[in-house]
Amino acid sequence: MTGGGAADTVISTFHQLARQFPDRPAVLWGTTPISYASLVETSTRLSRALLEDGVHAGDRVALILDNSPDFVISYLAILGAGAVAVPLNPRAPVAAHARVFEDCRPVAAFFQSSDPEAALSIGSSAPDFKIAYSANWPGTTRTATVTTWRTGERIASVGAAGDLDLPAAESLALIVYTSGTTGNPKGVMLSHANMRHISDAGRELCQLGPTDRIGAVVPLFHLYGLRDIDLALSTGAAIVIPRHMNFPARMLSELRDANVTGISSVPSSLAILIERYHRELSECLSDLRYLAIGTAPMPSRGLAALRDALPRTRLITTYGLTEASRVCWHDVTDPMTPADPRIVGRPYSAVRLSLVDEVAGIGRVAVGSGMVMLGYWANEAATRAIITADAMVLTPDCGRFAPDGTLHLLGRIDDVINCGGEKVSPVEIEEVIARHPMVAAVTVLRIPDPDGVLGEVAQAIVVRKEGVSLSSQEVLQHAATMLEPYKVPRSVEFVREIPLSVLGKPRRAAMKGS
Amino acid sequence: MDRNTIEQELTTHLSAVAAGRGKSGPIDADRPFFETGILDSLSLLDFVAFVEKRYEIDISGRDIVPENFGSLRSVTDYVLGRLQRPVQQP
Repeated sequence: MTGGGAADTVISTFHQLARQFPDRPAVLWGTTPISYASLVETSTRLSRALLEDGVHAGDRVALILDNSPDFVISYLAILGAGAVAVPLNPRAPVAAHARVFEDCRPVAAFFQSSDPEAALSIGSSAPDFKIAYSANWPGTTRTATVTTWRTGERIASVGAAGDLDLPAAESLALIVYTSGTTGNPKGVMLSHANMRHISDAGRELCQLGPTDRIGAVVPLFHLYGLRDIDLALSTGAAIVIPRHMNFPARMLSELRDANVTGISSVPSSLAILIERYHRELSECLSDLRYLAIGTAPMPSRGLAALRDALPRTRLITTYGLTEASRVCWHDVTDPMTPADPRIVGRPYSAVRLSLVDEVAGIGRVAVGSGMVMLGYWANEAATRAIITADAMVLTPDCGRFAPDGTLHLLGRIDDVINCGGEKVSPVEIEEVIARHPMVAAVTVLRIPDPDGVLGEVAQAIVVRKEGVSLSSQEVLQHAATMLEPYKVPRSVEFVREIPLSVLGKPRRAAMKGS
Repeated sequence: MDRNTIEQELTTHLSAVAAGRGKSGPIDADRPFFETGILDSLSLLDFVAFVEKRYEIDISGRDIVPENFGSLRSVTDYVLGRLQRPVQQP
């Protein structure tokens, strides 16, 4: 289904499928369908609006939306206009958005926020920012530098959709921000060709066809969720977006009512379903064809519980990273054998793996494929540090190959915390906490989640300044004003000095004023 | 236990949760938690666990729906209903 044509991209395939099969559902919002014809018409009008409003090919446009048809329409509109989508978490504090805006300088953005003031404050971090859209604003306003549009009104005001000059495969499609070992999140640049390879690999893995309905149960602003939009719309399938993501019992019945056939989820969400909604899970998803589980290792106990709840469903664990997307997959076939979460399986057919600096069969895992990113946005040094001369990405994982060819992981070479699939940099948290006026020194450690849901969580070890009082609540509140909720440490422990035994490496303490 | 007491207790608890998420100010009884960012899908379960423990009730997954846990007012109503008329757990 990756039809020919000069520009063989997800967006061009989507436009082609919409001409061929206009009446097929492309999106189901709960159970309300939006056809391919309607989606292409609306998103093309919005592309036209972006171009009329002064967005040029290659310009960055931030996408700060919750899961909804608006997300899909805006995403397609950005790509259709030849611009670059920068998806961001709408729940993140202004300071976190501002850091990204300073880095990639968007000219426009789609906001979830019903508060234009907050949006303009974020926009002011980017010097060329001029257009803000939201479905939730009262109307259209204009300041000296920024115009704010109500998205629906703007779409309606476009004369005719017409044909778009769709972007070439090698052009930049997406920048996805991810935490690395350093403090500042880095922008992973993905081309339209990358996105097509990611969809092709997903289609092969899940044996996806036009009758499939993919349930979007993770945030679409993550590449892990976003790529399911691409996967559905380049296959002629539908993406099902539940209206009640936060209420799993309701979400599960929506997925059932929409006849969902496949889902990609994450261990932390599945742990909640198993724990609290076991009965609803097996009642609503008994006909599910596949359940892919990625972004973090799933404990074998959880896999066994899923196998028990969904005996007819193909369970697949996947391994990847934002910089190279899909790397390995593993079919969970035998419920009786406790699966070792370190077994990440075999590579996708389009992926080649090697072990760098290999000693006794163990080395750092390197990945090559058409899914490997172009590089980090405006960060040549970081790009050179991770992409090898033969265009492979160095992962942070060490591993070895088992005799059957499957990859086994043995540990990370960095301190990044995998908090429910979100990669959290201890350095970033340390830098934020160190800015608190009462904090003399801080180090952030990885500890097992006491609730057993997120896998790992962050703990802050803090030294107070001489003679001041400072509570853990105050430290956490300070962190929450600058960091996304999942990056805020689970707990704070106060010490007189940071013991060298926990430092491990010199970077482990953000000492103030030094 | 009367309505005011329950609402007061829930407000105190949620204010502390909200503060830990960098949100301050009064809690609007009718605004959805997820709109204001006081709770997310994970902290919702912590909140449900708090309600279970504090009011000594078991809450099934089926009951964790927007009508019962969408806003301060809906939770207050739900807890009051459960305390007045204990529901048989299946």
